[in-house]
Amino acid sequence: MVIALQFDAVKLDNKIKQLINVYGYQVLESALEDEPVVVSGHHVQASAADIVRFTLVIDQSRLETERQTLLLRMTAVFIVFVVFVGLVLIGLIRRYITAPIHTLQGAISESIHNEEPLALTHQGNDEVSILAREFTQIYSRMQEAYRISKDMAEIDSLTRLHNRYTFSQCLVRLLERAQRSKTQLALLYIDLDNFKAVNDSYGHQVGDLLLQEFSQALCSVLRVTDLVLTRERSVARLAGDEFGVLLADVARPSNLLVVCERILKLFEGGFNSSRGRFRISCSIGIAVYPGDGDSAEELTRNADAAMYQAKSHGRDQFQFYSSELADRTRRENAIESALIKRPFDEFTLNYMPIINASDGRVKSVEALLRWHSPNLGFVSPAEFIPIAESRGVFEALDLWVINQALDDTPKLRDIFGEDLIVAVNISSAQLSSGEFFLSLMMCFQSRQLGTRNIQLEITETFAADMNARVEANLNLLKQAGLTLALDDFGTGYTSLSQMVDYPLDVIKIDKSLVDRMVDERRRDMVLSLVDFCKRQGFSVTAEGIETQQQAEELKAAGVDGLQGFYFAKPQPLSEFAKR
Amino acid sequence: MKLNKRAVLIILPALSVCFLAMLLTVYRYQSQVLLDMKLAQARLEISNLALIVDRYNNFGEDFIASLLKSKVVKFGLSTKKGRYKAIVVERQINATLKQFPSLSFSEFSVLVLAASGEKLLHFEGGDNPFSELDPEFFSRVKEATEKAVKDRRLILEGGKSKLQFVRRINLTTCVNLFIRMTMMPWLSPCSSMRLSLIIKLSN
Repeated sequence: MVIALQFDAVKLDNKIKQLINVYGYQVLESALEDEPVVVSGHHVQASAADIVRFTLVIDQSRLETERQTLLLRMTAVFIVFVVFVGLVLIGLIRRYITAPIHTLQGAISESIHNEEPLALTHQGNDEVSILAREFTQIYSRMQEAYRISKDMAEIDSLTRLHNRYTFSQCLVRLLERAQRSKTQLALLYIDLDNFKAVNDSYGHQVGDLLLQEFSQALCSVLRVTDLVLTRERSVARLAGDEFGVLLADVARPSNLLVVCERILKLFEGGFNSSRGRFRISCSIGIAVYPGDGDSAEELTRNADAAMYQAKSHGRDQFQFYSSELADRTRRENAIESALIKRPFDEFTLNYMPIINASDGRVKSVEALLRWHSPNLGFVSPAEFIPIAESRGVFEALDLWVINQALDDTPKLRDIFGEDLIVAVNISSAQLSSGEFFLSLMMCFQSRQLGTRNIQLEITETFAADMNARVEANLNLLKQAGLTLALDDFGTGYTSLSQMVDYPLDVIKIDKSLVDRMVDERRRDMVLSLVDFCKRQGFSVTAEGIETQQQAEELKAAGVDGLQGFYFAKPQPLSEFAKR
Repeated sequence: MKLNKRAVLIILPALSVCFLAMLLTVYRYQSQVLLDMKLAQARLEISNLALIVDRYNNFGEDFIASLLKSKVVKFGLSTKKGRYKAIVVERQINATLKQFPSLSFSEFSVLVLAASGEKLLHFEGGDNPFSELDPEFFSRVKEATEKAVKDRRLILEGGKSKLQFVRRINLTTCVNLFIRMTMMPWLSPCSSMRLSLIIKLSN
């Protein structure tokens, strides 16, 4: 007998469907006695009840999809994480590293730009705080060094006023401001008179003290309303004893007069200092923008020129700059430039005859320097001689005149006779030179001329600077056989006793005295003077004779030589040769 | 270049490279974990499949045993009245099936053949009221009987899994069955009666 049972496994089928549809497995069933199924890929196998062998194969595409999903999710998380961590890191770095450095850098930059002391308040022990403290120390030292250097560059160490450089800078700025506001700006150029004498007499220590006290006094007499900026910036020491003051918004020149009078009042009866009262004064030159110049250099130069003008007018006064003064200054500068430029091609010598009073013949000629410049026109000796003397050109000029006169001497002697005396003017300053005598002798030696009949004329001013060297030179010249004449006698301060002691041969009475002979009392004085000179053994020549009466009276008084336009005018050698 | 920008230019690339390396490492690990998880799940599911097959197998064994011990079935089979016999046996089989509520069948067939190969009983039941007699069932049983094919097997047919049990009842199998039931008394409370049935059936 056989009993057979057959039924379907619904649950098994449902389960297999679920595995296939839901989980994506590939389900393989095979009988146990069959050959095992060969499957590629990931799979698991199991047998059940000795009936069947199940093989579950994992779907590779599904697995790959899940892997890709995993990768996508991880990438998204990664990006979010990187961004988040990056932002957090950057935030932390900014907060704890870069922000303190930025703060430090900002504070340092602000301090440097505003030129203020560095005020960093870092108290921590981190690197930035330590760096800030170290930098503060270095910056403080540098700022102190800078302040000292700036002081040295801008401040006059003696008076604590600003120096010329700072003054010029300030002047430039104020000129720009005045140009914009269309206001006037005045520059006062102050120079102390006789300050050199104080230095020489009392020493530089006293001189320095005097400068300090004058600068303080100057600041005190200048009201705050007078000044442009601060007191220290508007007043400056420009050179040794020269000071500058800037006054802005000058409405009227009378305001400047008040300020100048206040300054000059400091010197009434001498300057009163802690070391006593000194006989010094000051000369003030004033230049006002825009009339007297529109640049700092021009304004300073013109104020300086006005100051020199004040000095030449007698010192202890102020002088406004004027266009005439400017013209004169420009002409003087041109003259100075021409004098410095050598050789002296534009110069010529004119000769003025001096008549022998006894026989009416020409006994001598005076060489007179004339300058006809193509650029400057006729330049009178009164213009260029002082400039030559003040600029130190007189030595070369005198030598040129002597050489020229010696060259002309033979021709002059041919015209006027062998006994003619040629008179040459020399600067009195030459007498203080140690080389003058040697140079003069070389001039004679080179031409093989004797010193006889050559007369050197010296003005009275040499007497003021009389010293051992001057006296020695006079004696050397005298011993060399030269004739020495005192020129322009009567205009200087030579006393009669001094005149007697000097080794002089000729006294030339100045034209100013001769001109006064129209007055009877003056005429007697001149005639008495001639008589005195004659009695002392001097030969006397009268200059500037323009009338016959003058000539007759002087001749009657015993004058040896007569010189003036009445007899002859100065003429070049060529004119004499034509006769 | 400002310090902040420099910091950004240094940090972001370094951070990106570090995290990229980390991402690749984690991805490789996670990918392996995913595969392991899939395999573990597959093992679990295949165990469930085996468990289901075991349950069906146990049911088949127990059902045949319960048929053998049933007096009602014996009585039904012994009667000559075909219709009555069918009703009796069918009722008994349905009653037995209700004892296994956890298992469901859309098709359920029982075939009893005499030693001569004569069909004594062919029962067709299950949850599907429209199920039909499997025309292959008889031939497969005959084939299994004649060729001594394994007495149980899984048949895959039309996307459906079917279990087939074939049991020849003779003296040896009856003794074996007796011993099994005696040794496992929980299968039935009256073992002596069962033994007589088995002997008769084997004759």
